[in-house]
Amino acid sequence: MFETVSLKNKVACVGAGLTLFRRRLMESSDELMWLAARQALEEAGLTINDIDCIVFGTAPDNFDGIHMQSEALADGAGAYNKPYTRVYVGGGTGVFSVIAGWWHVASGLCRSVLVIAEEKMSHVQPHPQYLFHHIFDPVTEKPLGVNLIWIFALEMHRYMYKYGVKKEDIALVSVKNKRNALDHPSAQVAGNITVEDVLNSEVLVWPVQRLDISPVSDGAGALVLVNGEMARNVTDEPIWIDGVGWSLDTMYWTNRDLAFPTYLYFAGKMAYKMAGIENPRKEIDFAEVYDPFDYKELHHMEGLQLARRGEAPTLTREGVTERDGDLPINPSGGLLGVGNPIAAAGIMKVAEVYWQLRGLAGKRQVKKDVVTGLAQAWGDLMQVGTVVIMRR
Amino acid sequence: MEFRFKVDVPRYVYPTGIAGKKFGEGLRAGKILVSYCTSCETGFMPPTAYCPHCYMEIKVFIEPEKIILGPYTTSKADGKIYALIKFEVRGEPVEGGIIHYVESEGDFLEQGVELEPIFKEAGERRGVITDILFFKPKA
Amino acid sequence: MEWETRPKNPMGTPYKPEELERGEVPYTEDSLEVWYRWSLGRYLSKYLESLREGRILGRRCKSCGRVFVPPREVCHACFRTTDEWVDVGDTGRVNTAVVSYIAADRGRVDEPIIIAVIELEGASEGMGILHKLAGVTPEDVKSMRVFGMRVKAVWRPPEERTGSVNDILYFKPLEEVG
Repeated sequence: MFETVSLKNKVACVGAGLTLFRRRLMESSDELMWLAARQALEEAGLTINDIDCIVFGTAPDNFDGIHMQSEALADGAGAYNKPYTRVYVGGGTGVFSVIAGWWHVASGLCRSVLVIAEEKMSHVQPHPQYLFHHIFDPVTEKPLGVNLIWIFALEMHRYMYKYGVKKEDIALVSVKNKRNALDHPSAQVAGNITVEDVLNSEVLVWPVQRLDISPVSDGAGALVLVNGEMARNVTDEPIWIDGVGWSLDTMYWTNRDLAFPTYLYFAGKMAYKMAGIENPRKEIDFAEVYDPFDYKELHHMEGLQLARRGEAPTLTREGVTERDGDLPINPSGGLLGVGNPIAAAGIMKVAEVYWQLRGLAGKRQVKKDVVTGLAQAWGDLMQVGTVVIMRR
Repeated sequence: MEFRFKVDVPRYVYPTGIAGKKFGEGLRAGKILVSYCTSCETGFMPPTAYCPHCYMEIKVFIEPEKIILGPYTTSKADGKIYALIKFEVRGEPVEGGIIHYVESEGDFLEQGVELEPIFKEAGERRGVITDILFFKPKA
Repeated sequence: MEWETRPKNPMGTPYKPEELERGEVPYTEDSLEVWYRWSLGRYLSKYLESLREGRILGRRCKSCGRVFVPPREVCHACFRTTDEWVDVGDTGRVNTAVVSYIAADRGRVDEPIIIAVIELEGASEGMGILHKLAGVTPEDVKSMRVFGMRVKAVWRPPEERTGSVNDILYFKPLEEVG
């Protein structure tokens, strides 16, 4: 598979934009999308007339509470009289929308694409978490009164058991990411916490405690992708998308190996092959991996072959994944620090990779010189891995 | 074998947004506001914070010069008349419109007839579309 | 390279729930309730009927030998229809377990619920189902004593069964915990 990928056009990112990520934002869904897209277009020095196609990513209609959400929000996407697509793979959408945007340009269909991802979780009262109850199998799981956090706790505990990982090691990820997020202008829950704070926080579903989890958020993000010719006209520093990959595992998550994210192994392989990467640990300079829970950062590092199985906690403990380390992971602050508006969180990560490669991350800028970065998201019923590799 | 389940959300709140807030302030004051893009020289209803055509910020919110009855129908369920209410600003038709009730009290109704809004009492208005009770032909 | 931090001046207007209730943030509201009469299909309907009879059924794919629980039409590895029904018994081993202090709607529960993925012995390796555990304490879960423990289903009395996964009350350890 993917022996030769034949592309009509190389694809570059030339602009990115993000709104604030907060628990409740007053802007309506379409206004939020426009704010992010406007920022991305401004950075690219383009207007909506320069954009051929629009790709929109958002998670279940039931969060914003508008049926056929993408159609209702088409104006907010700038999609007036343009080819317009919505994609959705749960939390993986943020990165998958970029991949879908990539198809549009790589195929030669469009010269330029505006990719937007948005989520409003504040509309659901009293708490959006109840909505997650409805993603489970109505026959075999819902009748047990399932709460979403159960499945993460089950996966986390299996990972801890199989590789002998302690909660203290996992908590280090939450500490690192929330601290990293102090330098992110959009961050919702940045702060200086300690491992003790995490271990003393409210136990929700043992072993998951309150400070192990990312918050509920409203937010939107956008990217402008163009073909090589347009990139050269628009900027001196296009950042190229050199690899994309995605893979879906079975919905029967109880039939899977919970200690290793197989869905991500395959998505990563696909992207690495396309980007010509044979040794990810050496050739990926830094990565934004999906961290809705602190243990997922470790889990995903191993799935992406950035660490051997069970080795990720050691790398974290030794400071390898800090911004001044050898393999910075989540220099943005991740979902744990910046926030988790379901579909927009992934695009926040792609934007971070783009800004780091351009040297525009300010205090978040990683110490080492970076050429190749990776952004990854995860979603559905623990199923999908979506990966994008970008190079300067 | 029958298997039933429900998908439910007990309560949604929909904040009306930034443009919606301006629209709401207008409604509370007994006014209807339309957003107007000066670049495209077009008005939009319901008012938006950005222009759907050129995607730039809209800063101008103005009252329409005319309110006009668009297509309308009588509901068999409740006997009410539902209509697309259209607007005119700076001599040109506004893009879009709102759906609302029309009461005629036997007055002649046809598309193009000019209308006026009837609002709730000032103290009862909340800054949402139902602050307008209905539209009726202009006296 | 420019030295401006991105994102530059991200926008957005946060609000507090009190501001909404006080009318400072105009809003409209609604609720959603949609009922579904679900098409169970051949396999899940038989699965539920067999639960009512006190049995757990799986499906075997003869090509690769996998036995799937819950039973299904398609073997995902071979992408062909599965071939035969298998009674997988009602014993298994705990693959992973957790202690929940919250219910489906995120409210706190009075008694902690112990929930587990149980690999059924009559099915393929690693073929787990989600269910509750009883006869173990939160400490058994936190200490990981419960991992790998052999457990057996405790069924509701036959007259109380309705053809549901709740016809199994929970799984209990076969040997003494200690």
